[in-house]
Amino acid sequence: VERWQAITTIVGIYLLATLVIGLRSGRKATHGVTGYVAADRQFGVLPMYFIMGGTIFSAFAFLGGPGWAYSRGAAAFYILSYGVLGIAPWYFLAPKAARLGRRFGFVTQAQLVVGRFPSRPLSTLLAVVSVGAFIPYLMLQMSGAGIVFETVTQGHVPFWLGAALAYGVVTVYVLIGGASAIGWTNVFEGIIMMAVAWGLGIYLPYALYGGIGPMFELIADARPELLTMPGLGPDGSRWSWGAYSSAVLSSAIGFAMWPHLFMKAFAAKSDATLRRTVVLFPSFQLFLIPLLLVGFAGVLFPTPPPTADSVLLHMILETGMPALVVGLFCAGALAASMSTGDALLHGAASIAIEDGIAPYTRLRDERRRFLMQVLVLVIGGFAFYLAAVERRSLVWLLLTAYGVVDQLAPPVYAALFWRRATTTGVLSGLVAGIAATVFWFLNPALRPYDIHEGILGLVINIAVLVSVSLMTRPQPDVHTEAYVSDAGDAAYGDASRAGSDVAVAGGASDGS
Amino acid sequence: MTGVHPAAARARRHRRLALGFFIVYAIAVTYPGVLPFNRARPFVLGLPFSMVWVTLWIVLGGVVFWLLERATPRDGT
Repeated sequence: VERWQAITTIVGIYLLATLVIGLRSGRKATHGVTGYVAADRQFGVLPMYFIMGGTIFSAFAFLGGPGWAYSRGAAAFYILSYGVLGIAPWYFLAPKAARLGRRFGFVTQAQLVVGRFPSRPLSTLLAVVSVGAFIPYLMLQMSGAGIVFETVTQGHVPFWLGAALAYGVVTVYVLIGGASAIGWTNVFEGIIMMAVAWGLGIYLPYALYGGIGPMFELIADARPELLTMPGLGPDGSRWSWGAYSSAVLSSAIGFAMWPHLFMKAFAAKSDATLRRTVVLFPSFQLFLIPLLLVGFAGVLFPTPPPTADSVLLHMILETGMPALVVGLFCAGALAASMSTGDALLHGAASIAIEDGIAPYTRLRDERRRFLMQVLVLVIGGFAFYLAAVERRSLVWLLLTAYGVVDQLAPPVYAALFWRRATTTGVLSGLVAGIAATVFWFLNPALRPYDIHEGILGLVINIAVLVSVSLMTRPQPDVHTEAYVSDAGDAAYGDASRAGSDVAVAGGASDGS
Repeated sequence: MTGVHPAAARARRHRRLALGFFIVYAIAVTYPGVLPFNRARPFVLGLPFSMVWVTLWIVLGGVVFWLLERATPRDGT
């Protein structure tokens, strides 16, 4: 058996196992929208933990994380810093959102926002922003899968076929199993990628330099600038503190606002499940450390990789590891790509129907589920076509997507914490924030202190939201009460408005 | 509606403490809070000090979540 055949066989076994798990776990869900989109609100801690963790561990983290550490040094520490900060608001937001979801039947983030701020244009805008942000992200995951396949099989499995194999499996289990399939495949994919990341992150420094300490000693002597923040910029000169700090903040604010993640609050079995997921989440964040170690191991590697992102693949092939190890690595990288891509594909289809189409029509539950499944195929095919044709040229779309997703934070916080916010205020803030983000993304020279465009957009967004809200007629108390009153304290039989001004734990707005 | 249940008041205090902690966290890992700790040496467990510093905050964040969860009463929902 040739080496590439052995590798492909191991990867094939992994893909088959994933498919079986996805199909089996999807069978239990009911056939309506809540079953397909929110797994009947029945997820326990295990799938929730791996869903939240799996999104951090995308193909971008698996290949891009080591690439950053290799080429930009401590700049990569921003990836370590934002995750825990980003999940913190979730501890308070998610149980509140979940309670409203059970009460009003919400399964998406936009339904929650539009429930508080009734407006079909707002719903459509949120749907367009979400799907627009998902597609480049999904393409990048597909490209990651294709590149891994093509590289480790030395071109015997071409880029397009690798991406098609991995995402063929994803499409089938998302199509049939919906959210339940995503939850349980992510458990399997998460375990594989964590094992591979730790295995390689510890093995490579030992094999190449005799340990992690000796490796960093060598780097500290040869390239000390790589070991202190803010590290290096994309052009290899020192990165700016403004860019580093605002990258941490922008990612932290955007993290819990990604619509495919946020909507998983509606899939959890109970509030306690959501809280425990947050408690366990930092342990997943630590799994980024070995990936950065891999990148640092590449710094003094004798032959440079063709591109920074391929440093991991390059070292694996150059160090002559056994086919079994390479096959497992390949499965780990695919797992990282697939556990992110499945939630994106499923989220894009669910959101397009629930928030983009359903508000204008009176479709029955089963009909909407069927349309979502059609869209899974359409969106999957479209993203695959773009990934195969465009390859890497659309990375910039993903980078701006993060800034745009930040703009979803003010509507969500306003919906849950600020009585005085109005529909007009939220809608105009959102439009202004997105426009500002795109403007500063396209004109980086005009950014003050090199600050991330998402943060600049937020400043505009919040200013417009607050001022327009104060100029328009307040919503009736009877309407805002359900959203803003602290349902967490209602458990004590005390939902009094007297104390709710100090209950804005999210801190974004305080105006009751 | 008068009076706040003591358990509710305690829950609010915990939330404010947690909020304070995460603000300190954000300052400690960005400019300028990170500056005093932003150095390659001493190494801890073979890792440069700057990397250990950001990792330490991940662990502290986990501890705070755990304390917060322990302090949250089981409300049965």
